[in-house]
Order: sequence, then structure tokens, then C-alpha cells
Amino acid sequence: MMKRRSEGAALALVTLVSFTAVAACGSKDGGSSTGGNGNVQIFVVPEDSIAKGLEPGTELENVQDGWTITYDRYLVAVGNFRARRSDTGDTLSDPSVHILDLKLAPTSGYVVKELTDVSAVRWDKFGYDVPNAKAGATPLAPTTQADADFMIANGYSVYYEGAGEKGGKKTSFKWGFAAGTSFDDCASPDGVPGFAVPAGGTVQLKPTLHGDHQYFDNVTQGVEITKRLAQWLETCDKDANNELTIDELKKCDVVTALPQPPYDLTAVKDQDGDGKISVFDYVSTQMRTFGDFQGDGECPTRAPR
Amino acid sequence: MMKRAPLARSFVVSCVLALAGCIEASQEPVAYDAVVVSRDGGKDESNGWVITLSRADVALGPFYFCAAASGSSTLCASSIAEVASVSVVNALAPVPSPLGRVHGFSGNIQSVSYDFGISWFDTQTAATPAPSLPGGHSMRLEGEARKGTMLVPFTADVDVVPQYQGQNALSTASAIATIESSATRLEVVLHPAGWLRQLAFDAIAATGKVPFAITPGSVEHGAILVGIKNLSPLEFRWTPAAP
Repeated sequence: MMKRRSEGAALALVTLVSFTAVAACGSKDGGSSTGGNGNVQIFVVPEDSIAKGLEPGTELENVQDGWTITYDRYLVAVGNFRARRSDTGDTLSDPSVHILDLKLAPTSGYVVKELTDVSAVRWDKFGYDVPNAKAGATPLAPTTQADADFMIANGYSVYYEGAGEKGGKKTSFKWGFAAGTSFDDCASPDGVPGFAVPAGGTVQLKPTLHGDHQYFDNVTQGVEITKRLAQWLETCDKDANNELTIDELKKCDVVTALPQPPYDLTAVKDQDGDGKISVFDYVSTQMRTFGDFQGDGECPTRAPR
Repeated sequence: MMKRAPLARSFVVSCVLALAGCIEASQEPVAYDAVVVSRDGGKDESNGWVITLSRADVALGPFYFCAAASGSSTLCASSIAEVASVSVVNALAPVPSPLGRVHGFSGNIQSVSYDFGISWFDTQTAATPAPSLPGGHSMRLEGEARKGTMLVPFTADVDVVPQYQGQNALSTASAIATIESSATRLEVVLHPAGWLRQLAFDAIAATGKVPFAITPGSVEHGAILVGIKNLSPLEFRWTPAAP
């Protein structure tokens, strides 16, 4: 890796110069225009981990330490969709914010926006927010107004109810987080930034919200190189009443609940400002990472929102 | 250390491409000193405990600086600058300690990933300590914690190990700079006593062990890793080079 990194710095320059040269000598739209206009549909889609839960096992997407995770309710605030062309600076935006119960999402997801007569070119920048809910955020059916009122009243960006089960023992949870975050520079799973609008056709954009980051053994950056573990559900249930509360998460020391190794706690922030890192800080940090694009595509530029 | 020959060849190629591509400006190769600055004099306070370090030998490096917002190897396959060497420094030194040279290119830096002398490169089957580490560990800390009449002397051998092959022990952290030339200096700021903030000194005192020895694999070792990675991480700042 060191050799790759050493030579990588030089390679980065070569690549940068080459791209710059193309941009400098290319046409105004960078040669990406296909002419004409097309349409954009934006769907908010839950990952299967929300709809179907997580299964124990040894496969990549399984929970490795034997836990089954299910969700009964998964509310999010999501919106402020935006796109931009780096070559011309043209923008698309929709500032509206919706409250969605991802557990009840239609099979193809929630259609939150349709744009017509959009230039049929590559829009290389795409982003959206999962903000702390405020007045004006609206539910899309089957999400109810009561769901929206609940999110707005608490200022949550995400709230979920569910349970973990292992060996016949069930630990339930109902947790809300004001972990508002913007997700930008979204790319497809194969790393292509943004999206291309086909002339006379429609491109479907799918901001995808994941339900398994709480169980990662690190805070992933880019590709999800991680394992899923959930033993901390039992470790943190100090009163052993099979109901794990936010207060218990705040009192649960990561040193014992999330030992390093196997965990790596790099990038976990002291979210509640108590001067210590707790499991609440860990889960809350993960709730600032769960916004993806087109399935497993990453939105690597994240900021508090 | 960085392989200079490939760097030079790459730059020549870059210039040719730049001319062929009629660009207006390109990045320049830069090289400048990096130093370690200790910020706290080895003192900190946590939960009523006054912590005083008497020894802090710390292995630092390599460092990889990235133009992207994340320095993770999965998002930053190519660094814009790096300190390829591993240095062992006295993190309590009252004056800056040399950390080696930064080699790279001019331009924007937004993030960094780094190791504490234990690296796990793609070409290695396991995390591997550099030969120069203090006792084979990333760091050796010694000191005491006081609270009222209670006194807890302690020692700590700490290993900061990358979690997965190809990643750094600190997979990404913020490091913001615009480097225009070699007339600059990187300061890596340490707050070593802050690394002990997650330690439960009340529980340690209750053990009655004197001195209390913290070793890899222990709960207390995990608490120090939280201090290093989360509560008191390294800070990176660039200043004009001394004339």
C-alpha cells in the first residue's frame, strides 16, 4: 500500500492534469450534452434492511453475532433534493421536506418529485438532506399526519421502533435522533457521480436509506468494509428489562459495549457533549451516515444539517 | 520514504500533458518539514481526576493527505501529499519535535489518514509494527492521576492497529489547508493527557494495583483508544516556514 500511495500522489497529479486539460479545451458542457430534454423522477427507497430486517449468519449482509433485527416503524425526514452541473453551474432543486415511514414504503419507494423538461445531460452533482424535522414537512401516504406531527414536535431526523432477538431473548427499542445531515456528491454503486438525463426519456433517482449502519463495526467511508454486530443491544440493557432506552444508550460505555477490536470507533463524535463516548454517540453518529444513492452508491460529503 | 524517481517521471508527464491540453495552471511538487507540537504539557482533568504524564513516547506515521473530504483508502486511493516515514517522538517535549518531510503537490488538502507506527498495507497479511516502535507498541505512557487523597500511578503500552487490511489506524480525519509552495511547515498537534479522558480512574483506584499497568486487550486500553481517536485526536495545521 505504501508503494501504491507513494506512486499514487504522482498518479493523482497526472489524472488531475489530464482532466483539467480536457475541461479546458472541451466544449462548454464538457461534451456531455446529448441534446434535447428529458425527465427526472426522485424516489426515496428503503434498503431491504428496513423493510425485511437483518438476519443472523455469516454472509456479508448478515449480523455476524447471531442477532435478528426487525423494524416495526421507521420514520425519516428527507428532502431538499438538488442537482448541479459542474461544467455550466446549472442547478435543479426542490426544497420541500417529507416525512416518510420507510417500513410502509410502496414496493418501488415513495415518489417525492417529478421534474420535466430537464436538459438531457449529465448532472454530476446530486445531494439531499435528512434534516431535523420542522414545521412544513409533509407526510406522503401511507405515512400519516400524526407521524409528521410526532417527528416535528421532537425535531427528529429519524425515529424507529423495532427489536433485536437472539436465543429466544428479545430486546425492543424506540429511538429518535436529531441527527440532521446533508448528503452530497452522490454517486452510483459503480462510482459514477450524479446522473444522466436521457433525451426524451426519464431517469429514476433513488436516494436510498439504510437500516443497518447502527450495527456496523465502524463508521464506513465510501465502500462498506464492515461487519454487522448487535450484541451491544443486550450489553447496554443494564436493567435487563428487554427494553433498551435512549437513556441506557447514553449511559452505555463504548469501551465495554463496542470493544476495539473488533470495533473501530474512528469518526464517532461526542454527539451529546458529555465529554465521553457512549453507545448513544455511536448510534447517533451512524444515523448521519445512512443516506446512500441508487442502492449502495455513496454520498461521501456529509455535513450536519 | 516516497519514491522520488516515479514522482519525477510523473511530473514530467504531467507537464507534457498540460502543454498538450492547453491548461492555464498545474500543481507544483512541494516538500516541507513536519513537526510535532505538544499542547498540554502532559496535563489534563477528567471527572475530578488531575492527570499528569511523565512519559509519552509516541510513534507517528505514515500520514496520507487527501484532496477529498474523506481520507479513507476507499475514497482516496491517491494521496496529494504524505509523510511516508514513522517517527517516535517525545510527546511531552516543550519544543517542536521533527516528524520528517512532507512530499507531495500543491493544492487543497481536506483530510488525512494515518497510523501510529503499526500499518496494514495491501501487501501485508497482518498489521505490522515498524521496527522503531517503543517496546514494539504504538506508544508508551507513564504518569499519575490524583483526586483528593487518592493517587493512581499508571503505565500504558498502547497499540493503535488498523481494523482491516489496506486501511489506516485512523481511517479519516479533518485536515484543511491550501498548499501553494514548499514555504510552509506542517504542525501535528498532540494533546496526550487528553487520551486518558475515557478512563474510569475511580474503578482503577478501587483495584489497589500500584502502578496500574494498562496493556493491549484490556478494557482500559480500549478507553485510551477512544481518547486517541475520538476525544483528543491529533490536529493538523500549516504555518509559514521559519525563515
